[in-house]
Amino acid sequence: MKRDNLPAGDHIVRYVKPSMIREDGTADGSDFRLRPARPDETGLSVNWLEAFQPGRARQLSEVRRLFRLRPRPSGRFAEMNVGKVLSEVGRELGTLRIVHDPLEAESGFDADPSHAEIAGLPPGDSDQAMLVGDLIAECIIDMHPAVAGRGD
Amino acid sequence: MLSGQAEPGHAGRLDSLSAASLERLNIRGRGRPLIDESCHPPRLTWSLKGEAGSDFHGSDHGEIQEISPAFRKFDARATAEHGAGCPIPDAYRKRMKFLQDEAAHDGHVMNHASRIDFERFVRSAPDIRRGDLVLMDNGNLRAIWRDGRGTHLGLQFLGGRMVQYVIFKKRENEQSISRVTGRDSLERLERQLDVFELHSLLCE
Repeated sequence: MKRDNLPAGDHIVRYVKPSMIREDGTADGSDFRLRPARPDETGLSVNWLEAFQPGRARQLSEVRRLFRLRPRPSGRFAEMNVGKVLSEVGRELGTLRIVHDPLEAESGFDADPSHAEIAGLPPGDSDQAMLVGDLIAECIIDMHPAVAGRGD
Repeated sequence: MLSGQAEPGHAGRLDSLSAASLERLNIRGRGRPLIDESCHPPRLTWSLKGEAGSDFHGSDHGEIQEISPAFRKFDARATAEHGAGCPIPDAYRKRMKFLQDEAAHDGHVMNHASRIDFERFVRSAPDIRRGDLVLMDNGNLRAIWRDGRGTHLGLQFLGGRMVQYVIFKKRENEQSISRVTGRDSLERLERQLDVFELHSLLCE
């Protein structure tokens, strides 16, 4: 149901654009904060992998198919475990939640049942946002190509 | 502080000027520069402290510690036109080009003041290790140094000689990790590096 908490044992991915990917292939924490230029944002967009049938390759394929942005070939999906993010980041930020936020079909896009949000984050231009972003980045367990056929 | 105490156009102490500007303008000694932006290009005049007939009546009392926005604008333009006097370190040249290309693709512009501060910082000591460099969506550069054991220093170069820092420090014989964040000047960042014993992370 919309805005329900995702199960702690499940996994999410977030698209990370190339300029936010460090040279060692990991994502920088600055990508995991609300954008100061978008004060209407309520959370960070992520995709819930277990919204699809099991099998990581199949789940990622569905995420790519339904993704509404145009990912760069060298962009990546950063994968995290929901429970780990909540426990690691929750020590610094008690308001943190990861909630289901499915998107309905609209203007040429199919419905996306995997869309979710990392909510309860501090304002994106705050110092705390950067610290929380770095903590979230430390919870990344894998990086996947954002475009199929790019080493996946 | 500066804008409240000094006359309009006053730009601060000469030692606030970048080395590139001082060299190019052939400025020597301590004094107070004045920017006249009514002409193009902007004109910078100055006089030495206490000099008879100074244009800066009454402006030599009080300690001026900040650079005025007017001067920042001038300095950024001068630096953009003539270089910072310290080109991008070779170790970062390729990465910087990549980030500039990405910024152009995304419709962003790399913040020039952020880049200048980053270059100042990595050239402030000869033995600073190469950090990971990323470009934030606000156009600022951010550099990160990590040791793989839980210690981490992230610096966002805000421009105007200011940085936002994030420090994760894992001390020996301690289970927990200290985490702090804040903003400080490039000059005063040294204190944080001392307190958290980060010199070995940052330097060879």
